[in-house]
Amino acid sequence: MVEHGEAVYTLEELLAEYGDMIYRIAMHNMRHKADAEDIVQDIYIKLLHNMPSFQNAEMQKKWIIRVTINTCHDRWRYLRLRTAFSLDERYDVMEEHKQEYGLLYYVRELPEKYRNVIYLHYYEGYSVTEIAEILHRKEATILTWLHRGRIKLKERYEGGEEHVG
Amino acid sequence: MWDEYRKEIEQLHLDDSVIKDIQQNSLKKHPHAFWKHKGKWAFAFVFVACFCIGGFMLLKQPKETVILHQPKTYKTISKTQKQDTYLKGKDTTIPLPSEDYGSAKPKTGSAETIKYPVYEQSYPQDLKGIYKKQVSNDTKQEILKEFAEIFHIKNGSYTDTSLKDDTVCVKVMENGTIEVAFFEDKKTNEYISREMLLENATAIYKKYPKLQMDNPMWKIKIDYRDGMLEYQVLLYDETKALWNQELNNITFYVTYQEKNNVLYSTLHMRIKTIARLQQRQSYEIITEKEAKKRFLQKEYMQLDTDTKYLPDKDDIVSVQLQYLDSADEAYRSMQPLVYPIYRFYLKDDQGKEHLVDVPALKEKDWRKLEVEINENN
Repeated sequence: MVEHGEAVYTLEELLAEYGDMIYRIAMHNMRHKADAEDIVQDIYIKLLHNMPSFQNAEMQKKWIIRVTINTCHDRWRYLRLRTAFSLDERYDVMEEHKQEYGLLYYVRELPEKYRNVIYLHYYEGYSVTEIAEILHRKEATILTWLHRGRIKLKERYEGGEEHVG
Repeated sequence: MWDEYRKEIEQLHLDDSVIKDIQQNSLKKHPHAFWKHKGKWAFAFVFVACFCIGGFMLLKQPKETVILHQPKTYKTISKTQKQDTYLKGKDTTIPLPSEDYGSAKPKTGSAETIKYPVYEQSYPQDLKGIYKKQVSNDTKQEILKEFAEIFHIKNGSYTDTSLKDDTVCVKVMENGTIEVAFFEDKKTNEYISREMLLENATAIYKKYPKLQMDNPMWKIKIDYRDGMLEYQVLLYDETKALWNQELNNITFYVTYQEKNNVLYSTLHMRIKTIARLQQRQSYEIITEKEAKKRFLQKEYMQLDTDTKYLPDKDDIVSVQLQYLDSADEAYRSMQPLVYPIYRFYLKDDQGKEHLVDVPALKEKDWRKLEVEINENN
């Protein structure tokens, strides 16, 4: 993984460096595989056409994370207005979810602000200061979200485990 | 705990098929590095070439053709009716819209074109009634009796507007909407997900054959409230016109109540039907072209009133003719009438979506109805 190297611009490098990361953030936010894959495609179109120049790979990565979260948010707004499913399609999704019961499932069920903070801190390893920079929020806000997110996750996970049995 | 989380995330990888799609798309859409340096010249060249070819072909264009000109949601309409062959495979020949629904009349010669949304030709002819959102007391009683039969309520307690027994409460609202609450107060450790809500909604819907539709479709509506996602399941008949789906549907949603530090959930069903509302009068509907003119004159109702966004014609993504009657939009539910509007779907420079509505009635009829219009200047 590139930490402080040069930013990349070719498609192959972008796919290798950030493909899985964009997909994982999209999966955290969109919950459904098909939606997450759509997000990845959207992001790549954006990257190929609108990506500014970066001094180093770390700045580029933070920018891509921010764009991905924003794109997911926009997609939710779009889905809220337009999404329609047939009954059969909904049941397919339900089945998919039942097989996915695990800690990740509960993180994805958290409100948007908590799940992104948890992902960035516990998986990407960003500090509170860095997450505040990525999400354009105050450090105190990120600390609060992280704290509340952990509590909610623990409550839901433990409650859910008992429920699922 | 976090190790488990990291392990699960590590299992998420992009499918090869998606990578292939991205690579294929990138062949069509040139990489950033190329456009960064060569984009301006390439754009200028393409622009000049298109201008020359377009001008040449328009001069050769036969009369009376309607051309659906890709991309996106707009078509370019000229006076001709035969499909032009220089357009690519995606272009489609469509019937000329009738005068009533906004046929295009170029101001000069065959080269004149007007941009028009593609669904112009598919407006429902019968979308012109104005309904009063009010039901009589007799109608309310009829509805309650009908629902007593649907839910098998034999010994329920009646009031003028409601019916209740141990398991269910049916209430007829002044605007004709029927609200049903199912008393199965459940202890819940967490807020109900949309899958759980859909499961519950499906079970209720299947239980009562009299509520069933010919071709039901489900729509999951999502809203953020207090930082939480909130889901509603909307059920409508997909074979009906859009306005009909808007006015005849069933919504399922859940409310929560906290008692002694325990969260309880209750399932609700909201049934909307236009059948029992009084039709006030029939009015002529304006064309989409006229609606667009009104939009440009800022005579529209803006949905997101707390934003500083100013709608612009270049932001229009699509326009749809439909009835204005949405119970989840507070200011609208206060309006006493159900009436047709042109809904403009907009997208600003930042990619944010906005909605504005233009009443689909003639100015004189509209003023008579005394329905409030937000004058956005």
